[in-house]
Amino acid sequence: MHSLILVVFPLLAGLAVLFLKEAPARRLAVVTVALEALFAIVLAALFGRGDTVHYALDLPWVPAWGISFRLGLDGISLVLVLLTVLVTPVALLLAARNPATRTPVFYALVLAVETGLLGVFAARDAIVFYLFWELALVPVYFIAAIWGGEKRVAVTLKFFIYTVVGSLLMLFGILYVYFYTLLPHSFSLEAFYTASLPGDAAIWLFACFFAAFAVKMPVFPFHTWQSDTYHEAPAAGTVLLAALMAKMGAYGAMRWLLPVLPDGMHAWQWVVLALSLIGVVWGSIIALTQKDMKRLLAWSSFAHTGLIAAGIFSLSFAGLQGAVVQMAAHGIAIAALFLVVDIVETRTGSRAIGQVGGLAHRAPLLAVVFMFALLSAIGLPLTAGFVGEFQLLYGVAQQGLAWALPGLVGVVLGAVYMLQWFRKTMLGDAPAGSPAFAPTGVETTVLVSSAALLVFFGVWPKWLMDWSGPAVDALVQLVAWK
Amino acid sequence: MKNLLVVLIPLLPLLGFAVSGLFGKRLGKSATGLLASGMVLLSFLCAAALAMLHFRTGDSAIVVNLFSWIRMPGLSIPMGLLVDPLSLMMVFVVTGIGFLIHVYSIGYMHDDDGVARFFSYLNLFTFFMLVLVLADNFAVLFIGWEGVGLCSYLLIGFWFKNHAFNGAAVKAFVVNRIGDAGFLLGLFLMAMTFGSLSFAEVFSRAASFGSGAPAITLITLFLFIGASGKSAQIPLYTWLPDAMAGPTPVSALIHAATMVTAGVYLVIRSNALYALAPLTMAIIAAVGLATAIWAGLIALSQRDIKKVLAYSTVSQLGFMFLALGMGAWSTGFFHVFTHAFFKALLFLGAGSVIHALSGEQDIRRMGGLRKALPVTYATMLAGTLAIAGIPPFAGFFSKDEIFAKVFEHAPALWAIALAGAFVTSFYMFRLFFLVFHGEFRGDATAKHHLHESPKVMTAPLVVLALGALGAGFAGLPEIFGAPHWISDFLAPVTGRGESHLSHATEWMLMGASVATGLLALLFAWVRYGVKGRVPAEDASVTGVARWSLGKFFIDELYDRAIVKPLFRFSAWIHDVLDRRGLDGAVGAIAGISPWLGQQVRLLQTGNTAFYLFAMALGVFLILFVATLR
Repeated sequence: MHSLILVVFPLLAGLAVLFLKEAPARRLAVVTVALEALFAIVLAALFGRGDTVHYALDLPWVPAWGISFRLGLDGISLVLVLLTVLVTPVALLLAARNPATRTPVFYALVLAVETGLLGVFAARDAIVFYLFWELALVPVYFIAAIWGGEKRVAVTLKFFIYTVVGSLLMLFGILYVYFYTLLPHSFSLEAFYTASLPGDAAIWLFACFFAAFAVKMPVFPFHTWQSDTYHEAPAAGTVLLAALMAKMGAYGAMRWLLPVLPDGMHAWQWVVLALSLIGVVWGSIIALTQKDMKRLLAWSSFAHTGLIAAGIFSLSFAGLQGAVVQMAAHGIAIAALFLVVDIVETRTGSRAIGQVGGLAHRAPLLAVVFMFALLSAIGLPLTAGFVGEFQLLYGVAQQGLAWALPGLVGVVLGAVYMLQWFRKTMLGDAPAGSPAFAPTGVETTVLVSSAALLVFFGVWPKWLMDWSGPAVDALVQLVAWK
Repeated sequence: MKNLLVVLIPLLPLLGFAVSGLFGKRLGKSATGLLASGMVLLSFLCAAALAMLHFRTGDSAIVVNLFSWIRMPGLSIPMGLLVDPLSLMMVFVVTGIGFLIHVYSIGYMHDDDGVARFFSYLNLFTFFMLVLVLADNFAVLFIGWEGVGLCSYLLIGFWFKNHAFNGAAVKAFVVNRIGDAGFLLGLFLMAMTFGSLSFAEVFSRAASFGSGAPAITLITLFLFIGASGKSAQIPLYTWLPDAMAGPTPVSALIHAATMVTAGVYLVIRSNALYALAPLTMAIIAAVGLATAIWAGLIALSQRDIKKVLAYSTVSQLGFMFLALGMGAWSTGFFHVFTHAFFKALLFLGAGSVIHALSGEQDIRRMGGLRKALPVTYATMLAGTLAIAGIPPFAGFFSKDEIFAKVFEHAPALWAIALAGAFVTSFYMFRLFFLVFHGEFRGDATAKHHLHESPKVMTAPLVVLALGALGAGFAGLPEIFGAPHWISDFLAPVTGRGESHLSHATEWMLMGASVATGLLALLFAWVRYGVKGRVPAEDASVTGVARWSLGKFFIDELYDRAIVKPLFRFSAWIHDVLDRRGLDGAVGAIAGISPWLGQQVRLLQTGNTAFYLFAMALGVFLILFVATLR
């Protein structure tokens, strides 16, 4: 029951938000995400050890077809649930900061996305998973298409088509696997894990599932929607996309691709590993010359996600756990960085790199938290980003040391483009007479707590590891098993 | 009790960082300076207490496991600290010399607005450096390793209004990152080979591998890539001279005495691995010697007082690696030890000169400063004599020991190294005479301003000068009949090196290096002391000297061969491959369905006869296909 409340509460609150005026709507939305965060933290605190699924729920839905409302959290889900409930408030904050997006509809959409994400991370039934998967997508589409920049229509259409094509292929794959589950047929995760597929079906089915997840993360070469969409979407939408929705893809691959189609996974391993690592180098190199802060972060995210994907497809414990840790680290850091970008843009009127400079003089605190998020993004030890990156690279290296090389190119180039960005924006001399500014109280709270979390989990990753360890271990067994 | 002391050593500077970082502005300038210096002094005292309590009894090591940091099946990394003779000596160097530099900074940074920030960074650096040397496994060492790199970045770009300084800071970080990528590869291969990153386990498991085992050769090479980034060796040395953009105490602490020796420390720490990798050792010796000579040649014609010292640091680090390449671990450390004193002294002395000249760093605008800056003069003389290897100053003993080891293994390399020693002595005395002798070459206002630095700055100089004079006695040559205290103390970590040279040879080698140093001194004295030559204007420099002045144009080479093409490649990959290529292809695929729609729409002609024809054709086709089955 806990997981059901956790998942649907934001959606219900969102429906109520629709009928309110802006101010009460905002209050209700804030209270909702706050309660949701609190609830998730309590669930995490009470989370037992072992690989069993906690807070499990099984409500029959369409018994004849083996569809049930199955929810539950294992360690991997838990980390992503925590990330979701911590980042959604940031998206809400960004929405409320911007006059254009300060509307009840927008808040309701953000809350709907939260439900979609939590549902994806908690679903243990393929149909439920698919529904939440789409539920998370549609509101983001509206957010980008209604409140986006000039080219929003063309860009979001591209985004929408991309993801829908991926989703439909996945739906086809789900239905196909369903008919090969043991009798009585069922859409439950366990049934999918034990399905006996005919012949080489796993090989092409892999491509169907992979398409959906690869578009969402994205993995090279399914990424061409990404930088445009991040660029056009309003800040709140970009944060949802970069910090959370990209994780849906990676999570989906871990839960519904690797263990369901281990044969396909092994057959395709070298291809998808190579694609992921090409993405690391591709994104890192392109990020070097980006002029727009949001585009820079888009390409940097692409590179980071590439490494996460590579860790997953390394099928090693280190790589898979590194993916979980890095999803948390990247989610927090990227949300903080997009908030920094939005603060810079609203206060100086520009987010073009090189147009604003010397902000460290005008807003010292902003420069400090920016530095913390940056350091985690480039994987400095004692930040969460290092732990994730170290595990990912180590996992990839277990497939052969040379596989780690593209990842290390990303490590080096990441330092180049992030530090150049910091230098051009924060350092240097401020133009004479430019006023000092400080982030508001709420902004400061968000930024400082992000920095604190990144350092905390860099020094004490033990919780992330204890939570995710048994689940990752079970996953490794499943992939090796069939 | 002992464990608490071990933990306090790095923790106190971290506390200092937190306090001066958070409350520095409220505490005021002098209070932050005192706090930061006090924390480092307390660390030093903790280490001293530990040495008293523990190492007198002859025990060898203390291991403190704080908590489990990263844990996976097959690889468990604790946050562990290790105190053994090697790390204890490093702690003394870092906190002892670090303390003096902190004190000096109180005076040097007195008029700067960012004092609190400066001291918080300096304390943070000390914390990471102590983590580096106290780590009991390679991963924790890497925490310190990258942490000091971060502090180096922050402090090089300390005056962040200056765009060029920020550029130098980024360059330092990125070049080090290239080395760190190598380091990480080494860690991964190590973890996969030994299933552990702890020093004790890795070294004991490595013993079962034969000498020259490929895995160990690769691991040691990867680690050496990291070492050559941090310790500024060919081809990754170019960041260090640029790092002189930072305030001078930073150059003394980070870019001379401590951080840049981390690479040397890493190799000494891993000597059990390196001893099994003869190929790597040969490469280290070659890189070290080449760097020593190369940087020395560049130092010959630099005009910036700090640049001369920077290249001299690169060169001295080269000599240290040369020693390591010979397997002379404790010898390499001995030079780290003496170098820390005299190079910190030289930098702080240079800082005192720069302070007196209100920021002037060009030695062509100096000269005759010995009268105005008597303490700086005397202490700088001690430092210069030490680096030139004139007995009984510290550099003589350590350098002589390196040369003896090189001669023992490879006399040809010894001859080249001796030439390097000549160059060293020459450029250092060139600097010394140009700065302190002759007539003052600055303008009248500058001359009027000349003043000796305050006591808070000269006192550290005097202490360091005593070190530059006396530190060598910690390692007297065997022929003097006295115990070699350093190598005895380090023996549990490095083993005991044996010398097979006869006493006559040793005397000959010693005589040769002293004579070389004195000869170079003499040349420099005639040229710059007697004749009063001053370096020419840049434009008039030609021939070989131009290459030396231009630093062999390596920066330009890297810029044209790597940096610029990379950025052009970035734009090309984005505009052509990604946007036009991939995104274009996606657009084309997406365009198929509207195009198909367009085509199909044309069939809707409204002509009933055509519809009937199409229907009949369809039925026919279906039947045709069905009969084929």
